Amino acid sequence: MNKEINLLPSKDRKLDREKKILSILWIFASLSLLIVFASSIILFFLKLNSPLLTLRKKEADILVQISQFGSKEVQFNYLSDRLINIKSIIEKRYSFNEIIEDIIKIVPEDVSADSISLSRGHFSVIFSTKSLLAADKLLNNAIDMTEKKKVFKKVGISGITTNPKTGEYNFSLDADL
Amino acid sequence: MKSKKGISLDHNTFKLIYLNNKEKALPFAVIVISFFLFLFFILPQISDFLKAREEDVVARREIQTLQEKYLLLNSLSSSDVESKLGLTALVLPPSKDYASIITSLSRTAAVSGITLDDFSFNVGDLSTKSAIVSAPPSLLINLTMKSGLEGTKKFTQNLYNQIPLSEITSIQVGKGNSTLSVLFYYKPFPPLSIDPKSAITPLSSDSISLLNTLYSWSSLPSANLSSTASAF
Repeated sequence: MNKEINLLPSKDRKLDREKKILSILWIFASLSLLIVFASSIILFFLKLNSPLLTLRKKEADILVQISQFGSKEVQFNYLSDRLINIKSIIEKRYSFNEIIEDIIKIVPEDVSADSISLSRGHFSVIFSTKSLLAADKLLNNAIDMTEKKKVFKKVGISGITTNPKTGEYNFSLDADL
Repeated sequence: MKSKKGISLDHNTFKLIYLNNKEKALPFAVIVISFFLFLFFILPQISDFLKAREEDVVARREIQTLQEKYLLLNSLSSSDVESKLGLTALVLPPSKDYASIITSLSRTAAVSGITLDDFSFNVGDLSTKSAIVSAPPSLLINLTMKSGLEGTKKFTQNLYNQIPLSEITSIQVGKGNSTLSVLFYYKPFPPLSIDPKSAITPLSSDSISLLNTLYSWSSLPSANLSSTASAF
C-alpha cells in the first residue's frame, strides 16, 4: 500500500476544522447569551436600588415645609431687591460737596461770588471784586486746582466788565468737571 | 477549454447551503439575536440608567439648596424681616410720598440751620435726568431757600443722609438765596413670582452695614417701620 496516496487525512482535516469552527461558534453564542443575561440582571437590580424616587419624595417633603414660610419668603425677596436698588442709588448719585468745597477754597477774601450755578459736569460763577490783584489770585487758584486735583477739566473766563461807579470788576468763570 | 460557470441563486442553492451548514445555524442565530437584544434593549437601558444617575446628582443638589433655604427661612424672624422691609420702603418708597419728601426737606433745613422758602413738585415726565443710567423713577422738586454757598453745602450734605433717597441735580446760589433741583426716588414693588425651588441667599455683610446706615438716617421708631411693610 502506498502511504503517500491517502485521501482520508484531508477529509479528516476538513472535519476537524469544521468541528473547531462549530465549537468556536458555540462558545461565542454562549458568551453572548451570558452577557445579555448578566447585563439584564445587573441593570434590573441597579434600577431597583435607584435612590431617585426617595430623593424626589424628600424634595417634595422639604417643599411642603418651605411653603409654610410663603409670606416671609416674599418679604425677604423684596427686602433683598430693595437693598440692591438703594445701594445702587447711593453709590452712583452725584454729589456737589467736593465741588462746592473747591470753589470756597479758590475764592480769596476780596472776591465775592455773586452767582453760582452748578450742574452735573459743569459749573459757572460770576465774581465781583474791587481788586485786580484778588482777581488774579482767584484765577491762579483755579489754575492750580485744575493742575493739582484735576477736578476742573476746562476753565474759561468771560464777560469781564467794570463798573466805574463802584469800581468793581465783574467776570464769569466757567469750568467743565 | 474552460466554460464560464455562473452562480444561480435559486431555492436549491439556499437548500444546499443550509444542509451544508445546518449545525452552525443555531449558534449563529443565537449570536445574532443576542447582538440585537444588546443593541436595542440593553444599551438603551444602560443609557437610561446613566441618565437616572445624573438626575440623582441634580436631585441631591436641589435638596441641598432647599435645605439651606428652609434653614435660612426658619432662622429669620418674621417681625425682623417686616421691620427691615418697612425701613427700605421708607428709604425707597413704593410710590410718590409727598409727605415724606416735605418732612425730609424740613428736617434737613432745620439741621442745616437754614430757612426753606418755596418748593414745587414736577409731576409727569421729568426734564432732568438722574446721573444714574438705570435709576428708578423719581419726583423732581425745585426748592428755594435763604442761604449762601456755605449753607447750601450743609444742606446738600445733610439731605443725602435723609430718607427718602434723593439726588441733587443742579444748584443755583445767589446773594442770600439758593435754588436746588432735587430728585426723590421711589420704586413700586414689582410683581414677584416665587419659584419654590429657587435658592435664597442670606443678607451679605454689605447689606447689613447698609441697613445699619439706613437705620441711623431714619428717625422713626421701629414700630412704625412694620406698618409700612404690611401695607403692600
